[in-house]
Amino acid sequence: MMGIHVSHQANDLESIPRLRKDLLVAYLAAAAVTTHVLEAALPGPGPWFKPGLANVFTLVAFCRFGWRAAMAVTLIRILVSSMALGILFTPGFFLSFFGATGAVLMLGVVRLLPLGLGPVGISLLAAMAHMVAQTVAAWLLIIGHVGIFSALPWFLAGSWISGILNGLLAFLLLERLDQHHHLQR
Amino acid sequence: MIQRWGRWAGVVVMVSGLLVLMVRWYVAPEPPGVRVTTRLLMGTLVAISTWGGDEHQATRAVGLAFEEMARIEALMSRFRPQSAVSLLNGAKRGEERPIPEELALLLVKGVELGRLSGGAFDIGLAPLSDLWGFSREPPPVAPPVRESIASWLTEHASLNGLGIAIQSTPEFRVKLSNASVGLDLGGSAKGYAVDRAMEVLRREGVVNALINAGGDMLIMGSKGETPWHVGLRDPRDPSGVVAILDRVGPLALSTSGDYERFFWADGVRYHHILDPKTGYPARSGLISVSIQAMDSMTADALSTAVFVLGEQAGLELLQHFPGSEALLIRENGEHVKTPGFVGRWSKTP
Amino acid sequence: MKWLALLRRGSTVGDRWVMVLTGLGIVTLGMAMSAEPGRRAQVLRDNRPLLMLPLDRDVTTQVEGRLGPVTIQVEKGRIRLLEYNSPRLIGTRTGWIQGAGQTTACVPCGILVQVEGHAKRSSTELDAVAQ
Repeated sequence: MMGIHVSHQANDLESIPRLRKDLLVAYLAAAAVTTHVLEAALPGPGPWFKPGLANVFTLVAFCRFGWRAAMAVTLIRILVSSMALGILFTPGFFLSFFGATGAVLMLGVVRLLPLGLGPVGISLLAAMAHMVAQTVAAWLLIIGHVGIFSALPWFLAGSWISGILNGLLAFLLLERLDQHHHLQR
Repeated sequence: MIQRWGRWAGVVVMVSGLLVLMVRWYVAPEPPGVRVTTRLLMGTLVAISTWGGDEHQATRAVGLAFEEMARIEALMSRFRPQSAVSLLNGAKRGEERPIPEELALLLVKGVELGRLSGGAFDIGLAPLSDLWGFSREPPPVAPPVRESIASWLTEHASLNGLGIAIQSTPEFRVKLSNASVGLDLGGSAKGYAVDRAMEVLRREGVVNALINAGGDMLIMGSKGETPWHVGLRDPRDPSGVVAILDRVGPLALSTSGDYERFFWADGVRYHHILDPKTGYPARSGLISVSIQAMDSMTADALSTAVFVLGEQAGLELLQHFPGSEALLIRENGEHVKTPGFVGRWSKTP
Repeated sequence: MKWLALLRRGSTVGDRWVMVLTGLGIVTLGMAMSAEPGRRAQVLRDNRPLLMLPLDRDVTTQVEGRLGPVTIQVEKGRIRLLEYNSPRLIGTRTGWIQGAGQTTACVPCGILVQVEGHAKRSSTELDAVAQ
């Protein structure tokens, strides 16, 4: 009896955390896709001023499991939600894709910085990178006119606010996850 | 660890490559716009528009085209004291003077049109133009005294023809018969300069261009998938347009009207297109004549000639110039056009 | 207040620094870009460049034309030619210009003013009007 129990314990320690990690990343990705699609359906002040709530889940993935998990959540979110929305490989898709690439690259930089950043700071920097990358993509792919950069400060001001909000939401979500001890790392 | 990185890198490279291909398919390049450059030449605003092609090349070509027009102005303007035309006008009458070949060829065409139009088109009206002074600054406000015009008419009528004799061998020489004759190429030099400028653009690799020099317009090519979109000014409303043309070049369009340079005196509109038969502004029942032809010089000269001749004789003159078409606006505002004239009526600008 | 408390609880010292610095950065960028030199108009005499006037600074100046002085006025981002009394002064008929590529001129004075840049034309706009 005892022996079996111990071997179960060993199993828990070795493989169950990995399974839980993959599962949780999958959950986060699914939540991100859902949020992305819902947000796209909401009427808003244009594609430049969406709050980008789906990024909350990317942040959680990043803070909990690291950069590659965040990249996985992002890639899945962009591809699957674009398919769901029927905009795969349209200009709108490329805007999200390049914006998200910028954000993920920024996350890659952030993890190397010894700044002691929490979700809010990380979210803010990623949101900025997202906006800059998206604007550059719009310039290169759609507008073809540098005039779009004159609006960049306004875009950035918008992402400053949404970046902080998303960071706070990610912080609350992480707090909740911490209370569930079986979901601990 | 390294293995997992390799897998990620592979996925990223493949996805990026795919995306680059997709971008090239889905995102059309920004359509090049119309580039316009304006200069002051030959007493008017000259605008050269080009479409497409290399911007650097087009800019260079347009600069050279303006230089060509400036060169022709320096050769043919009677307001430049050192121009070939001024030197000839200042020479003693009855004496043969050598002139540049380029000018001589233009004079030959002018004299030919003078003959075909029965003297309505006259390149020798400088003395009469000076009497009226439409090119003076400030412009005139009253007609010249009747006697001065009468004496010009008497002297001019004593000529056999235009009073301009051109000889081509062994070199080009011109003889002006008497003091009533002096070269004024106002009716054809601008059209000629526009033709030459377009030739320069073509030589420099420009494919699509539009030159607009006041009343003389010349079109080459198009704006890619759309033709050039041009209007004809309403003679009685400076901001209005009477007709609209959508045309792919080559096409020359020249307009002569009584509204370009004029003054009012005693209820009469005195305009700058003079009738050699009367010495007064032409009163042929037309207030605007637009001519379409293959080259700008022909269109320019014909628009003046038809304006002076009037509707019937003017349209007969066009028979000598295959491919030329006319749009006429009568005094009462009625429009007439020959069947081949490209364009549609428009009441809105 | 509740949000502020949450912000205090949810952010590290590094986060706060990032918030302040990015905020300042955005404001600085916005100010720098709005102060960027605006459109300019080139004044030509006999087709040679004479002056370059920025359109974001109101100014009235005179240049020597062929027939005497010509006044050029810049106001509220627009520019015009003034005062020379001639029916052929296309400038006064044209009035104010401000769009990229627009021109105004006094033909007898040999003065031409052109706003820098190439005009963006809509497809319904005429490319030229035969006068």
